[in-house]
Amino acid sequence: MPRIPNIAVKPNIWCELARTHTEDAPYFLQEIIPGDLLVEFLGTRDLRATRSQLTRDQHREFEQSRFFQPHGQKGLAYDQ
Amino acid sequence: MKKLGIGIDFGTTNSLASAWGSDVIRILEGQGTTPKPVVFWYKDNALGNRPHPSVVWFKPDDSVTVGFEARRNMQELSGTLGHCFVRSVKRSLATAEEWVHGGRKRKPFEVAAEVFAYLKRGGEKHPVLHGHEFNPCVVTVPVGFNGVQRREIRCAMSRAGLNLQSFVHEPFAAMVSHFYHPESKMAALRGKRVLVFDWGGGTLDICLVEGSQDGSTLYELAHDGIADRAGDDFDRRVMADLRGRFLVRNPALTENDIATKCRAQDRFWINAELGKIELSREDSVRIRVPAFLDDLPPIDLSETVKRYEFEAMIEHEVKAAMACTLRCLDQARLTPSSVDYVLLVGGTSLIPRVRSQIEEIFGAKVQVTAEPDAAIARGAAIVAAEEWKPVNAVTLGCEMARGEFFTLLERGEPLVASASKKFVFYCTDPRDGTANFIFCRRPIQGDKAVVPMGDILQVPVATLRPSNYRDLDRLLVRVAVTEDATVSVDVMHTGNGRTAAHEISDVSFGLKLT
Repeated sequence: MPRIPNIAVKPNIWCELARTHTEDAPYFLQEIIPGDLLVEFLGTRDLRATRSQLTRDQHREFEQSRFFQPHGQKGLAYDQ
Repeated sequence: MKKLGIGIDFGTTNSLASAWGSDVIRILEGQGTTPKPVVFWYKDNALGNRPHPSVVWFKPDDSVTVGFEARRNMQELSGTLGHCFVRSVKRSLATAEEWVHGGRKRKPFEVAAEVFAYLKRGGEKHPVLHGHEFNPCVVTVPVGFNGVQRREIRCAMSRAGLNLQSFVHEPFAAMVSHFYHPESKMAALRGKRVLVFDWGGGTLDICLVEGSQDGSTLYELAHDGIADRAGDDFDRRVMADLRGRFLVRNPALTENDIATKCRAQDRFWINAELGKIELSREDSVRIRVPAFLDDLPPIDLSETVKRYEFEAMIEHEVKAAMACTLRCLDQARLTPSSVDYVLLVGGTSLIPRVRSQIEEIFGAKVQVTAEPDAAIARGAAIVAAEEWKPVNAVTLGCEMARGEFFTLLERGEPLVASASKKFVFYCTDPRDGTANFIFCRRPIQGDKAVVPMGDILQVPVATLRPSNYRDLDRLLVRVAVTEDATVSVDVMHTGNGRTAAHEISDVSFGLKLT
């Protein structure tokens, strides 16, 4: 059977001409960085706090990352 | 000394140069002939005007001969002590191949320089253009040539004393030659789309060109090609078929006999090629090679090849070429009905089977270039003399996190060496240890996903989870167009100082006509 690659490297870079040269540029990344990493930055897993900070995509990413968390850590797979 | 633009069609099998400029118009009008770019042909008594074979002959006395004389002597002297023959050097560009002669190693670009110098000498000796300076110069390249191959051509030209102005894709140059008029220039292509199908001896090159509505620019919307299935390959198929028939007719002989006793390989090759060309006009052709085997008495080869037999030999390649044509249209998200003209260039595209297949797709829009051997060189000479500047035809950029497109080089920007542009990028997710740059063309309507151009550029970043937005990796990106019409991207990590570089060579050419 022919082997078709089904994985791809995702781009993880961000640039915006109007904003990337300013001092507070990293803060504009809030909507772009993956949800699970953003939760690390926020320093809380409290859904009430994260709901207002994360976009819908970021929430999904956070939920997905919980499923794949390593054994022994708190995650959906571990909880079940 | 007056200057003339010179165009060079540096081919795998044959090469040709042409010159154009206001002086050519004046001289030719003075002689009462229609002004068109002057071509530096090899004038053969039997065959008429012929392009120069790209064969280089290094002789025992260190002198070098190029062209027909080299090709003629290749048969007799190839493999003998002190003689070194190089054929199809274009295929060896940017490879590690070397030829040793007279205790000296010669790299492919040094051999290519001999071909360029020979073409330049031919122009300087031309009776009409004697006393002119050939500057600037435009050289044509196949659509599949990468930056390294273009760089080698530039080095070879500089070695030959030619001032390279720009590169242009071979089918694009042929199209310029076909639609150019000394007064109205390229007005015939205003708002039109042309698909150029250039199938010659070495490569199949297809490009789709669009003229802007205001007539100021020509854009290459898409290009595609096949590198190693062309006329030369078909010659070898015909030769293999003839060898097979010869062995059937002479059962006492073996392949080994042909390998050891055939001293007429070059003549065999030329006759097979001429026979193949004849099959485009005739239903069958008789190919004769006197004294094919150097035996006692010498054995002749004489076989009849029918057109349908030849077409069966190349059927697979014809299908691949048609698939390539449709792929080229698909790149620009266009259909055959949205193309205004189809231009056939090169000997292989004139094979009746190929032409009928193209006509099946495009209908009555198909045109054939006049003097297909010279069209590419003439087009390049026109571009050189008019000093039309190359521009980028398709917006290039990279894909960012969340799938957005970021423009690095806009459509219409000059494709000549320029000052670099600087950008600051942030790595949004450093956890896998690299920042991933995926270069692509601007997605057009109908694209389901970004099609990456070449490899992904990965820049090492800190793998630790940053504790603050401010700790995210910052990357300084410098984008510049190089002398070889490629786009170089240099990335430097502002924290750890690590660097990485990438070159985008699959650039679509355009021409600014004003």
